Amino acid sequence: MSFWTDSLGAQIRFYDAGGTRTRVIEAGEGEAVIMMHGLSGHAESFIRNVVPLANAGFRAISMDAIGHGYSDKPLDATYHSPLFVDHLQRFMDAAGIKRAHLVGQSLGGWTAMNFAQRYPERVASLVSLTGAGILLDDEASRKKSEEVHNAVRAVTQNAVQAPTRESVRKRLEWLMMDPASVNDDLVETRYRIFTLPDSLKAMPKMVAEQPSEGNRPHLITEADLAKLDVRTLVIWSDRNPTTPQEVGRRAAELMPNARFALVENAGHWAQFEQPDTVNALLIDFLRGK
Amino acid sequence: MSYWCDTLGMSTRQVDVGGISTRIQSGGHGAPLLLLHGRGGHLETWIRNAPALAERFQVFAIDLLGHGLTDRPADSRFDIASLTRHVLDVLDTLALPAAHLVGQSLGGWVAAELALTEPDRVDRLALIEPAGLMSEAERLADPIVANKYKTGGAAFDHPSRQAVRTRLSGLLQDPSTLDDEMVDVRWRLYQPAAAREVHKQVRKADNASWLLTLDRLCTLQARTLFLRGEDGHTPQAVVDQAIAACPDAHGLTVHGARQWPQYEQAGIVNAALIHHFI
Repeated sequence: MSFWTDSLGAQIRFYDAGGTRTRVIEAGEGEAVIMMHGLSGHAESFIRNVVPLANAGFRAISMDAIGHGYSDKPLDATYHSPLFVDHLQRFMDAAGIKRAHLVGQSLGGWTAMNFAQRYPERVASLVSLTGAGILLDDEASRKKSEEVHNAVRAVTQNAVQAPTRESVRKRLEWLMMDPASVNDDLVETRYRIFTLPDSLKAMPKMVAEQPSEGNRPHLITEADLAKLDVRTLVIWSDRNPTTPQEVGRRAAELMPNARFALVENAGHWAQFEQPDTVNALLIDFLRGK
Repeated sequence: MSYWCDTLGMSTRQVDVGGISTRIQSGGHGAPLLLLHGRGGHLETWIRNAPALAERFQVFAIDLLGHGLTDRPADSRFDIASLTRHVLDVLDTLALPAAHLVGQSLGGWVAAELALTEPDRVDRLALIEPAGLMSEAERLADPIVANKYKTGGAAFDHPSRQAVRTRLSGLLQDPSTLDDEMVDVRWRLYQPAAAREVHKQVRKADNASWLLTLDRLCTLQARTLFLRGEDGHTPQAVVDQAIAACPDAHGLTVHGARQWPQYEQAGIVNAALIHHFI
Protein backbone atom coordinates (compact mmCIF):
# COMPACT_ATOMS: atom_id res chain seq x y z
CA MET A 1 0.00 0.00 0.00
CA SER A 2 1.03 3.57 -0.55
CA PHE A 3 0.75 6.68 1.63
CA TRP A 4 -1.88 8.05 -0.76
CA THR A 5 -4.13 5.00 -0.60
CA ASP A 6 -3.48 4.50 3.15
CA SER A 7 -4.83 7.99 3.79
CA LEU A 8 -7.57 8.17 1.15
CA GLY A 9 -10.45 10.02 2.79
CA ALA A 10 -8.16 12.16 4.95
CA GLN A 11 -7.58 15.83 4.21
CA ILE A 12 -4.14 17.35 3.81
CA ARG A 13 -4.55 20.97 4.77
CA PHE A 14 -2.93 24.05 6.23
CA TYR A 15 -4.02 26.13 9.22
CA ASP A 16 -2.79 29.57 10.19
CA ALA A 17 -1.76 28.83 13.77
CA GLY A 18 -1.42 32.39 15.00
CA GLY A 19 1.00 33.30 12.22
CA THR A 20 2.60 29.86 11.84
CA ARG A 21 1.44 28.04 8.70
CA THR A 22 0.81 24.52 9.91
CA ARG A 23 0.24 21.40 7.80
CA VAL A 24 -1.95 18.58 9.07
CA ILE A 25 -3.37 15.28 7.89
CA GLU A 26 -6.91 15.24 9.23
CA ALA A 27 -9.99 13.02 9.04
CA GLY A 28 -13.23 12.34 10.84
CA GLU A 29 -15.53 14.09 13.26
CA GLY A 30 -15.82 13.83 17.01
CA GLU A 31 -13.50 14.50 19.93
CA ALA A 32 -10.16 15.77 18.65
CA VAL A 33 -7.11 13.52 18.80
CA ILE A 34 -3.89 15.36 17.96
CA MET A 35 -0.90 13.24 16.99
CA MET A 36 2.58 14.72 17.21
CA HIS A 37 5.75 13.33 15.65
CA GLY A 38 9.33 13.25 16.86
CA LEU A 39 12.43 15.37 16.20
CA SER A 40 12.96 15.91 12.44
CA GLY A 41 9.71 14.02 11.79
CA HIS A 42 6.51 15.03 10.02
CA ALA A 43 2.80 14.29 9.93
CA GLU A 44 3.32 11.16 7.81
CA SER A 45 4.68 9.44 10.96
CA PHE A 46 1.00 8.75 11.76
CA ILE A 47 -0.17 8.05 8.21
CA ARG A 48 -1.35 4.57 9.27
CA ASN A 49 -3.27 5.87 12.28
CA VAL A 50 -5.27 8.91 11.14
CA VAL A 51 -7.95 7.12 9.09
CA PRO A 52 -8.41 4.20 11.54
CA LEU A 53 -8.94 6.67 14.42
CA ALA A 54 -11.35 8.70 12.26
CA ASN A 55 -13.27 5.50 11.47
CA ALA A 56 -13.49 4.87 15.23
CA GLY A 57 -15.36 8.16 15.66
CA PHE A 58 -12.70 10.77 16.34
CA ARG A 59 -11.49 13.93 14.64
CA ALA A 60 -8.00 12.58 14.05
CA ILE A 61 -5.24 15.06 13.27
CA SER A 62 -1.56 14.49 12.68
CA MET A 63 0.32 17.78 12.58
CA ASP A 64 3.70 19.02 11.43
CA ALA A 65 5.32 20.71 14.43
CA ILE A 66 6.81 24.17 14.01
CA GLY A 67 10.15 23.82 12.22
CA HIS A 68 9.09 20.51 10.68
CA GLY A 69 7.50 19.07 7.53
CA TYR A 70 5.56 21.68 5.56
CA SER A 71 4.90 23.89 8.57
CA ASP A 72 6.70 27.23 8.92
CA LYS A 73 10.28 27.07 10.18
CA PRO A 74 11.14 30.42 11.78
CA LEU A 75 14.83 31.24 12.22
CA ASP A 76 14.23 33.79 15.00
CA ALA A 77 12.95 31.17 17.44
CA THR A 78 14.68 28.87 19.93
CA TYR A 79 13.69 25.25 19.36
CA HIS A 80 13.19 24.31 22.99
CA SER A 81 10.11 22.66 24.48
CA PRO A 82 8.12 25.88 25.20
CA LEU A 83 8.15 26.75 21.47
CA PHE A 84 6.46 23.45 20.56
CA VAL A 85 3.97 23.81 23.44
CA ASP A 86 3.11 27.33 22.33
CA HIS A 87 2.69 26.22 18.70
CA LEU A 88 0.32 23.43 19.76
CA GLN A 89 -1.77 25.90 21.74
CA ARG A 90 -1.97 28.29 18.77
CA PHE A 91 -2.84 25.39 16.44
CA MET A 92 -5.69 24.25 18.70
CA ASP A 93 -7.07 27.78 18.74
CA ALA A 94 -6.85 28.01 14.94
CA ALA A 95 -8.57 24.64 14.47
CA GLY A 96 -11.32 25.50 16.94
CA ILE A 97 -10.29 22.77 19.38
CA LYS A 98 -10.88 23.63 23.03
CA ARG A 99 -9.82 20.28 24.42
CA ALA A 100 -8.00 17.36 22.78
CA HIS A 101 -6.56 13.94 23.36
CA LEU A 102 -2.83 14.31 22.76
CA VAL A 103 -0.79 11.47 21.28
CA GLY A 104 2.90 12.32 21.24
CA GLN A 105 5.68 10.20 19.88
CA SER A 106 9.25 10.94 21.00
CA LEU A 107 9.59 14.76 20.92
CA GLY A 108 5.80 14.91 20.48
CA GLY A 109 5.41 13.08 23.82
CA TRP A 110 7.62 15.63 25.52
CA THR A 111 5.53 18.45 24.02
CA ALA A 112 2.30 16.72 25.10
CA MET A 113 3.45 16.34 28.73
CA ASN A 114 4.63 19.92 29.02
CA PHE A 115 1.42 21.11 27.36
CA ALA A 116 -0.62 19.11 29.89
CA GLN A 117 1.29 20.75 32.74
CA ARG A 118 0.69 24.22 31.38
CA TYR A 119 -2.85 23.86 29.99
CA PRO A 120 -4.44 20.99 31.96
CA GLU A 121 -7.97 22.14 31.09
CA ARG A 122 -7.26 21.64 27.37
CA VAL A 123 -6.11 18.02 27.60
CA ALA A 124 -8.74 15.28 27.62
CA SER A 125 -6.13 12.55 27.88
CA LEU A 126 -2.51 11.95 27.05
CA VAL A 127 -0.62 9.20 25.22
CA SER A 128 3.16 9.13 25.39
CA LEU A 129 4.44 6.82 22.68
CA THR A 130 8.13 6.08 23.19
CA GLY A 131 7.96 9.65 24.46
CA ALA A 132 10.97 11.83 25.08
CA GLY A 133 11.41 14.35 27.85
CA ILE A 134 11.11 12.07 30.90
CA LEU A 135 13.93 12.52 33.43
CA LEU A 136 14.08 10.06 36.32
CA ASP A 137 15.88 10.98 39.55
CA ASP A 138 18.51 8.26 39.81
CA GLU A 139 22.00 8.89 38.55
CA ALA A 140 22.00 6.03 36.01
CA SER A 141 18.81 7.30 34.39
CA ARG A 142 20.17 10.85 34.21
CA LYS A 143 23.30 9.61 32.54
CA LYS A 144 21.29 7.51 30.09
CA SER A 145 19.08 10.50 29.28
CA GLU A 146 22.11 12.60 28.34
CA GLU A 147 23.49 9.76 26.24
CA VAL A 148 20.17 9.48 24.40
CA HIS A 149 20.17 13.22 23.68
CA ASN A 150 23.70 13.04 22.31
CA ALA A 151 22.91 9.99 20.20
CA VAL A 152 19.72 11.54 18.79
CA ARG A 153 21.55 14.74 17.94
CA ALA A 154 24.38 12.88 16.21
CA VAL A 155 22.20 10.59 14.12
CA THR A 156 19.80 13.42 13.18
CA GLN A 157 22.51 15.92 12.31
CA ASN A 158 23.91 13.47 9.82
CA ALA A 159 20.55 13.30 8.08
CA VAL A 160 19.69 17.02 7.99
CA GLN A 161 23.09 18.35 6.94
CA ALA A 162 23.50 17.85 3.18
CA PRO A 163 20.69 15.28 3.03
CA THR A 164 20.78 12.53 0.46
CA ARG A 165 18.19 9.81 -0.05
CA GLU A 166 20.74 7.41 1.40
CA SER A 167 21.38 9.43 4.56
CA VAL A 168 17.64 9.92 5.04
CA ARG A 169 17.01 6.19 4.62
CA LYS A 170 19.77 5.44 7.15
CA ARG A 171 18.23 7.76 9.77
CA LEU A 172 14.82 6.16 9.19
CA GLU A 173 16.21 2.62 9.45
CA TRP A 174 17.69 3.59 12.81
CA LEU A 175 14.11 4.24 14.00
CA MET A 176 12.73 0.86 13.03
CA MET A 177 13.03 -2.62 14.42
CA ASP A 178 12.92 -3.95 10.86
CA PRO A 179 14.79 -1.82 8.28
CA ALA A 180 12.34 -3.17 5.70
CA SER A 181 9.62 -1.07 7.41
CA VAL A 182 11.22 1.95 5.72
CA ASN A 183 9.42 2.16 2.37
CA ASP A 184 10.08 4.36 -0.65
CA ASP A 185 7.19 6.75 0.12
CA LEU A 186 8.68 7.45 3.54
CA VAL A 187 12.21 8.03 2.27
CA GLU A 188 11.03 10.25 -0.58
CA THR A 189 8.69 12.27 1.65
CA ARG A 190 11.43 12.93 4.17
CA TYR A 191 14.05 13.61 1.52
CA ARG A 192 11.80 16.21 -0.13
CA ILE A 193 11.09 17.84 3.24
CA PHE A 194 14.77 17.91 4.25
CA THR A 195 15.74 19.49 0.94
CA LEU A 196 13.15 22.29 1.09
CA PRO A 197 14.95 25.66 1.16
CA ASP A 198 13.51 26.56 4.57
CA SER A 199 14.42 23.13 6.00
CA LEU A 200 18.04 23.50 4.91
CA LYS A 201 18.15 26.80 6.80
CA ALA A 202 16.21 25.92 9.94
CA MET A 203 16.68 22.21 10.60
CA PRO A 204 20.40 22.23 11.51
CA LYS A 205 19.61 24.99 14.03
CA MET A 206 16.65 23.07 15.39
CA VAL A 207 18.54 19.80 15.66
CA ALA A 208 21.36 21.54 17.48
CA GLU A 209 19.02 23.31 19.91
CA GLN A 210 16.33 20.76 20.68
CA PRO A 211 18.51 18.05 22.27
CA SER A 212 20.82 20.62 23.92
CA GLU A 213 21.73 21.52 27.49
CA GLY A 214 19.54 24.63 27.28
CA ASN A 215 16.41 22.51 26.76
CA ARG A 216 17.09 20.15 29.70
CA PRO A 217 15.41 22.43 32.29
CA HIS A 218 12.18 21.64 30.42
CA LEU A 219 12.49 17.90 31.03
CA ILE A 220 9.71 16.30 33.07
CA THR A 221 11.01 15.16 36.45
CA GLU A 222 9.66 12.53 38.83
CA ALA A 223 8.10 15.32 40.90
CA ASP A 224 6.38 16.71 37.78
CA LEU A 225 5.08 13.27 36.86
CA ALA A 226 3.64 12.74 40.35
CA LYS A 227 1.56 15.93 39.88
CA LEU A 228 0.47 15.20 36.31
CA ASP A 229 -2.90 13.62 37.01
CA VAL A 230 -4.34 13.62 33.47
CA ARG A 231 -5.57 10.22 32.29
CA THR A 232 -2.52 8.78 30.53
CA LEU A 233 -1.42 5.80 28.48
CA VAL A 234 2.32 5.21 28.18
CA ILE A 235 3.14 3.01 25.18
CA TRP A 236 6.63 1.66 24.68
CA SER A 237 8.12 -0.74 22.19
CA ASP A 238 10.40 -3.67 22.97
CA ARG A 239 13.08 -2.57 20.49
CA ASN A 240 13.15 1.19 21.05
CA PRO A 241 16.56 2.55 19.99
CA THR A 242 16.43 5.52 22.40
CA THR A 243 15.11 5.37 25.95
CA PRO A 244 14.64 1.90 27.49
CA GLN A 245 11.14 0.68 28.35
CA GLU A 246 11.91 0.78 32.10
CA VAL A 247 11.72 4.58 31.92
CA GLY A 248 8.21 4.41 30.42
CA ARG A 249 7.11 1.85 33.00
CA ARG A 250 8.45 3.98 35.84
CA ALA A 251 6.77 7.13 34.47
CA ALA A 252 3.42 5.31 34.33
CA GLU A 253 3.90 4.19 37.96
CA LEU A 254 4.71 7.69 39.12
CA MET A 255 1.75 9.33 37.36
CA PRO A 256 -1.44 9.14 39.45
CA ASN A 257 -3.70 8.16 36.55
CA ALA A 258 -1.54 6.28 34.04
CA ARG A 259 -1.10 2.81 32.69
CA PHE A 260 1.60 1.18 30.59
CA ALA A 261 1.46 -0.95 27.45
CA LEU A 262 4.31 -2.66 25.64
CA VAL A 263 4.20 -3.22 21.88
CA GLU A 264 6.33 -6.07 20.60
CA ASN A 265 8.34 -6.18 17.41
CA ALA A 266 8.68 -2.45 16.97
CA GLY A 267 11.43 0.17 17.19
CA HIS A 268 10.90 3.88 17.86
CA TRP A 269 7.87 4.05 15.54
CA ALA A 270 5.50 1.47 16.98
CA GLN A 271 2.56 3.32 15.39
CA PHE A 272 4.09 2.76 11.95
CA GLU A 273 5.62 -0.69 12.36
CA GLN A 274 2.71 -2.23 14.30
CA PRO A 275 -0.21 0.03 13.33
CA ASP A 276 -2.99 -2.48 14.05
CA THR A 277 -1.75 -3.12 17.59
CA VAL A 278 -1.22 0.55 18.35
CA ASN A 279 -4.53 1.63 16.79
CA ALA A 280 -6.40 -0.93 18.91
CA LEU A 281 -4.60 0.30 22.06
CA LEU A 282 -5.36 3.91 21.21
CA ILE A 283 -9.02 3.36 20.35
CA ASP A 284 -9.67 1.42 23.58
CA PHE A 285 -7.93 4.07 25.63
CA LEU A 286 -9.61 7.02 23.89
CA ARG A 287 -13.00 5.39 24.39
CA GLY A 288 -12.32 5.37 28.10
CA LYS A 289 -11.69 1.66 28.41
CA MET B 1 6.57 8.17 -8.83
CA SER B 2 4.28 8.32 -5.86
CA TYR B 3 0.93 10.05 -5.52
CA TRP B 4 1.76 11.21 -2.01
CA CYS B 5 5.20 12.59 -2.82
CA ASP B 6 4.19 14.13 -6.14
CA THR B 7 1.54 16.25 -4.41
CA LEU B 8 3.58 17.19 -1.31
CA GLY B 9 3.04 20.86 -0.48
CA MET B 10 -0.43 20.87 -2.08
CA SER B 11 -3.61 20.57 -0.03
CA THR B 12 -6.44 18.08 -0.50
CA ARG B 13 -9.52 19.25 1.35
CA GLN B 14 -13.20 18.54 1.73
CA VAL B 15 -14.85 21.90 1.04
CA ASP B 16 -18.51 22.66 1.77
CA VAL B 17 -19.90 23.73 -1.62
CA GLY B 18 -23.48 24.76 -0.99
CA GLY B 19 -24.00 21.81 1.31
CA ILE B 20 -22.10 19.36 -0.90
CA SER B 21 -18.83 18.20 0.66
CA THR B 22 -16.48 18.43 -2.28
CA ARG B 23 -12.93 17.07 -2.47
CA ILE B 24 -10.59 19.70 -3.89
CA GLN B 25 -6.86 19.42 -4.35
CA SER B 26 -5.08 22.73 -4.72
CA GLY B 27 -1.66 24.27 -4.96
CA GLY B 28 0.42 26.93 -6.62
CA HIS B 29 0.01 30.63 -7.34
CA GLY B 30 -1.13 32.54 -10.38
CA ALA B 31 -4.23 32.51 -12.54
CA PRO B 32 -6.83 30.04 -11.23
CA LEU B 33 -7.20 26.83 -13.24
CA LEU B 34 -9.77 24.10 -12.61
CA LEU B 35 -9.24 20.47 -13.64
CA LEU B 36 -12.40 18.42 -14.30
CA HIS B 37 -12.11 14.65 -14.69
CA GLY B 38 -14.18 12.28 -16.82
CA ARG B 39 -16.92 9.70 -16.29
CA GLY B 40 -16.31 7.43 -13.32
CA GLY B 41 -13.24 9.51 -12.51
CA HIS B 42 -11.73 11.42 -9.59
CA LEU B 43 -9.11 14.10 -9.11
CA GLU B 44 -6.21 11.63 -9.27
CA THR B 45 -6.87 11.66 -13.03
CA TRP B 46 -4.56 14.71 -12.99
CA ILE B 47 -1.74 13.23 -10.88
CA ARG B 48 0.77 13.84 -13.68
CA ASN B 49 -0.52 17.35 -14.41
CA ALA B 50 -1.67 19.16 -11.27
CA PRO B 51 1.81 19.41 -9.64
CA ALA B 52 3.42 20.59 -12.89
CA LEU B 53 0.64 23.12 -13.60
CA ALA B 54 0.86 24.37 -9.98
CA GLU B 55 4.29 25.78 -10.82
CA ARG B 56 2.55 28.33 -13.09
CA PHE B 57 -1.09 28.53 -11.93
CA GLN B 58 -3.28 28.30 -8.87
CA VAL B 59 -4.55 24.80 -9.60
CA PHE B 60 -7.74 23.19 -8.31
CA ALA B 61 -8.48 19.57 -9.19
CA ILE B 62 -11.94 18.61 -7.99
CA ASP B 63 -14.04 15.49 -7.65
CA LEU B 64 -17.20 16.19 -9.68
CA LEU B 65 -20.64 15.91 -8.08
CA GLY B 66 -21.20 12.31 -6.96
CA HIS B 67 -17.69 11.27 -7.94
CA GLY B 68 -14.64 10.30 -5.91
CA LEU B 69 -15.01 11.65 -2.38
CA THR B 70 -17.52 14.37 -3.23
CA ASP B 71 -21.03 13.90 -1.81
CA ARG B 72 -23.70 12.06 -3.78
CA PRO B 73 -26.96 13.95 -3.18
CA ALA B 74 -29.88 11.52 -3.36
CA ASP B 75 -32.06 13.91 -5.36
CA SER B 76 -29.55 14.68 -8.12
CA ARG B 77 -30.03 13.46 -11.68
CA PHE B 78 -26.28 13.71 -12.30
CA ASP B 79 -26.92 15.15 -15.73
CA ILE B 80 -24.81 17.83 -17.42
CA ALA B 81 -26.85 20.65 -15.88
CA SER B 82 -26.38 19.28 -12.32
CA LEU B 83 -22.66 18.67 -12.77
CA THR B 84 -22.19 22.13 -14.31
CA ARG B 85 -24.14 23.82 -11.54
CA HIS B 86 -21.85 22.15 -8.99
CA VAL B 87 -18.72 23.46 -10.76
CA LEU B 88 -20.25 26.96 -10.78
CA ASP B 89 -20.89 26.59 -7.04
CA VAL B 90 -17.24 25.54 -6.61
CA LEU B 91 -16.13 28.78 -8.32
CA ASP B 92 -18.43 30.75 -6.00
CA THR B 93 -17.24 28.93 -2.88
CA LEU B 94 -13.61 29.47 -3.81
CA ALA B 95 -14.49 33.14 -4.50
CA LEU B 96 -13.09 32.91 -8.03
CA PRO B 97 -14.69 35.48 -10.37
CA ALA B 98 -13.38 33.45 -13.32
CA ALA B 99 -10.98 30.60 -14.07
CA HIS B 100 -9.36 28.62 -16.84
CA LEU B 101 -11.02 25.23 -17.21
CA VAL B 102 -9.50 21.94 -18.32
CA GLY B 103 -11.90 19.04 -18.76
CA GLN B 104 -11.44 15.47 -19.93
CA SER B 105 -14.35 13.51 -21.45
CA LEU B 106 -17.41 14.22 -19.26
CA GLY B 107 -15.41 17.00 -17.55
CA GLY B 108 -14.79 18.56 -20.97
CA TRP B 109 -18.51 18.62 -21.65
CA VAL B 110 -19.15 20.25 -18.27
CA ALA B 111 -16.38 22.81 -18.89
CA ALA B 112 -17.80 23.71 -22.29
CA GLU B 113 -21.33 23.90 -20.87
CA LEU B 114 -20.16 26.32 -18.19
CA ALA B 115 -18.34 28.44 -20.76
CA LEU B 116 -21.52 28.58 -22.91
CA THR B 117 -23.93 29.39 -20.09
CA GLU B 118 -21.67 31.51 -17.82
CA PRO B 119 -19.21 33.08 -20.25
CA ASP B 120 -18.04 35.67 -17.70
CA ARG B 121 -16.82 32.93 -15.35
CA VAL B 122 -14.55 31.13 -17.82
CA ASP B 123 -11.29 32.56 -19.16
CA ARG B 124 -9.90 29.92 -21.49
CA LEU B 125 -10.85 26.32 -22.10
CA ALA B 126 -8.93 23.15 -22.82
CA LEU B 127 -11.06 20.15 -23.78
CA ILE B 128 -9.37 16.76 -23.73
CA GLU B 129 -11.32 14.10 -25.66
CA PRO B 130 -14.51 15.94 -24.63
CA ALA B 131 -17.82 14.11 -24.45
CA GLY B 132 -20.93 15.80 -25.86
CA LEU B 133 -19.75 16.29 -29.43
CA MET B 134 -21.80 13.27 -30.50
CA SER B 135 -25.00 11.72 -29.20
CA GLU B 136 -24.71 8.44 -27.27
CA ALA B 137 -26.25 6.58 -30.22
CA GLU B 138 -23.71 8.01 -32.67
CA ARG B 139 -20.85 7.32 -30.27
CA LEU B 140 -21.81 3.72 -29.61
CA ALA B 141 -22.27 3.01 -33.31
CA ASP B 142 -18.48 2.63 -33.40
CA PRO B 143 -17.87 -1.03 -32.43
CA ILE B 144 -14.53 -0.22 -30.70
CA VAL B 145 -16.18 2.46 -28.55
CA ALA B 146 -19.13 0.17 -27.83
CA ASN B 147 -16.78 -2.58 -26.71
CA LYS B 148 -14.79 -0.26 -24.38
CA TYR B 149 -18.09 1.02 -23.00
CA LYS B 150 -19.19 -2.52 -22.19
CA THR B 151 -15.91 -3.87 -20.77
CA GLY B 152 -15.19 -0.62 -18.91
CA GLY B 153 -18.68 -0.59 -17.42
CA ALA B 154 -18.17 -4.00 -15.81
CA ALA B 155 -16.25 -2.23 -13.03
CA PHE B 156 -19.53 -0.61 -11.93
CA ASP B 157 -21.16 -4.03 -11.43
CA HIS B 158 -18.21 -6.01 -10.10
CA PRO B 159 -15.57 -3.64 -8.77
CA SER B 160 -12.69 -6.12 -8.59
CA ARG B 161 -9.13 -4.86 -9.05
CA GLN B 162 -9.09 -6.64 -12.41
CA ALA B 163 -12.30 -4.97 -13.61
CA VAL B 164 -10.93 -1.58 -12.57
CA ARG B 165 -7.65 -2.33 -14.33
CA THR B 166 -9.57 -3.29 -17.49
CA ARG B 167 -11.56 -0.04 -17.36
CA LEU B 168 -8.44 2.10 -16.94
CA SER B 169 -6.52 0.12 -19.57
CA GLY B 170 -9.25 0.98 -22.07
CA LEU B 171 -8.29 4.65 -21.72
CA LEU B 172 -4.70 4.04 -22.77
CA GLN B 173 -2.97 3.26 -26.03
CA ASP B 174 -0.30 1.37 -24.07
CA PRO B 175 -1.94 -0.23 -21.01
CA SER B 176 1.48 -1.31 -19.68
CA THR B 177 2.00 2.33 -18.62
CA LEU B 178 -0.88 2.10 -16.11
CA ASP B 179 0.50 2.42 -12.57
CA ASP B 180 -0.72 0.31 -9.65
CA GLU B 181 -1.55 3.28 -7.45
CA MET B 182 -4.17 4.49 -9.96
CA VAL B 183 -5.77 1.03 -9.99
CA ASP B 184 -5.72 0.91 -6.21
CA VAL B 185 -7.20 4.40 -5.73
CA ARG B 186 -10.02 3.74 -8.17
CA TRP B 187 -10.66 0.27 -6.77
CA ARG B 188 -11.11 1.81 -3.31
CA LEU B 189 -13.34 4.60 -4.59
CA TYR B 190 -15.58 2.09 -6.40
CA GLN B 191 -16.19 -0.10 -3.35
CA PRO B 192 -19.33 1.68 -2.03
CA ALA B 193 -22.38 0.48 -3.99
CA ALA B 194 -23.72 4.05 -3.91
CA ALA B 195 -20.61 5.29 -5.75
CA ARG B 196 -21.11 2.76 -8.55
CA GLU B 197 -24.80 3.63 -8.72
CA VAL B 198 -23.91 7.28 -9.44
CA HIS B 199 -21.64 6.21 -12.28
CA LYS B 200 -24.48 4.16 -13.78
CA GLN B 201 -26.80 7.16 -13.41
CA VAL B 202 -24.25 9.39 -15.13
CA ARG B 203 -24.18 6.94 -18.02
CA LYS B 204 -27.95 6.74 -18.23
CA ALA B 205 -28.64 10.48 -17.80
CA ASP B 206 -30.50 12.03 -20.70
CA ASN B 207 -28.13 14.76 -21.78
CA ALA B 208 -29.57 15.28 -25.25
CA SER B 209 -30.54 18.89 -24.53
CA TRP B 210 -26.95 19.86 -23.69
CA LEU B 211 -25.20 18.27 -26.67
CA LEU B 212 -22.36 20.44 -27.95
CA THR B 213 -23.90 20.96 -31.36
CA LEU B 214 -22.22 23.13 -33.99
CA ASP B 215 -24.97 25.72 -33.46
CA ARG B 216 -24.06 25.99 -29.82
CA LEU B 217 -20.29 25.86 -30.35
CA CYS B 218 -20.39 28.85 -32.68
CA THR B 219 -21.38 30.95 -29.64
CA LEU B 220 -18.43 29.75 -27.52
CA GLN B 221 -16.52 32.91 -26.67
CA ALA B 222 -13.65 31.39 -24.70
CA ARG B 223 -10.41 30.66 -26.52
CA THR B 224 -10.42 26.88 -26.68
CA LEU B 225 -7.83 24.17 -27.18
CA PHE B 226 -9.12 20.76 -28.28
CA LEU B 227 -6.77 17.91 -27.36
CA ARG B 228 -7.43 14.52 -28.87
CA GLY B 229 -5.56 11.28 -28.45
CA GLU B 230 -4.18 9.72 -31.59
CA ASP B 231 -6.38 6.67 -30.89
CA GLY B 232 -9.11 8.60 -29.10
CA HIS B 233 -12.76 7.66 -29.37
CA THR B 234 -13.94 10.84 -31.06
CA PRO B 235 -13.27 10.74 -34.80
CA GLN B 236 -10.87 13.38 -36.11
CA ALA B 237 -13.57 14.71 -38.46
CA VAL B 238 -15.95 15.39 -35.55
CA VAL B 239 -13.29 17.29 -33.63
CA ASP B 240 -12.28 19.22 -36.75
CA GLN B 241 -15.91 20.27 -37.34
CA ALA B 242 -16.17 21.46 -33.73
CA ILE B 243 -12.95 23.47 -34.02
CA ALA B 244 -14.19 25.06 -37.23
CA ALA B 245 -17.50 26.01 -35.61
CA CYS B 246 -15.94 27.69 -32.55
CA PRO B 247 -15.03 31.35 -33.00
CA ASP B 248 -11.60 30.95 -31.38
CA ALA B 249 -10.41 27.34 -31.20
CA HIS B 250 -7.53 25.22 -32.33
CA GLY B 251 -6.61 21.58 -31.93
CA LEU B 252 -3.75 19.26 -31.13
CA THR B 253 -3.59 15.52 -31.71
CA VAL B 254 -1.43 13.81 -29.10
CA HIS B 255 0.47 10.81 -30.41
CA GLY B 256 0.88 7.74 -28.24
CA ALA B 257 -2.45 8.33 -26.48
CA ARG B 258 -6.08 7.22 -26.50
CA GLN B 259 -8.62 8.79 -24.08
CA TRP B 260 -6.14 9.87 -21.38
CA PRO B 261 -3.43 11.90 -23.15
CA GLN B 262 -2.92 13.95 -19.96
CA TYR B 263 -1.74 10.75 -18.27
CA GLU B 264 -0.12 8.84 -21.09
CA GLN B 265 1.72 11.83 -22.58
CA ALA B 266 1.74 14.17 -19.59
CA GLY B 267 4.81 16.15 -20.68
CA ILE B 268 3.33 17.03 -24.07
CA VAL B 269 -0.08 17.89 -22.63
CA ASN B 270 1.33 19.98 -19.77
CA ALA B 271 3.43 22.01 -22.21
CA ALA B 272 0.42 22.51 -24.50
CA LEU B 273 -1.77 23.61 -21.58
CA ILE B 274 0.81 26.06 -20.21
CA HIS B 275 1.28 27.52 -23.70
CA HIS B 276 -2.49 27.81 -24.18
CA PHE B 277 -3.19 29.48 -20.83
CA ILE B 278 -0.26 31.93 -20.77
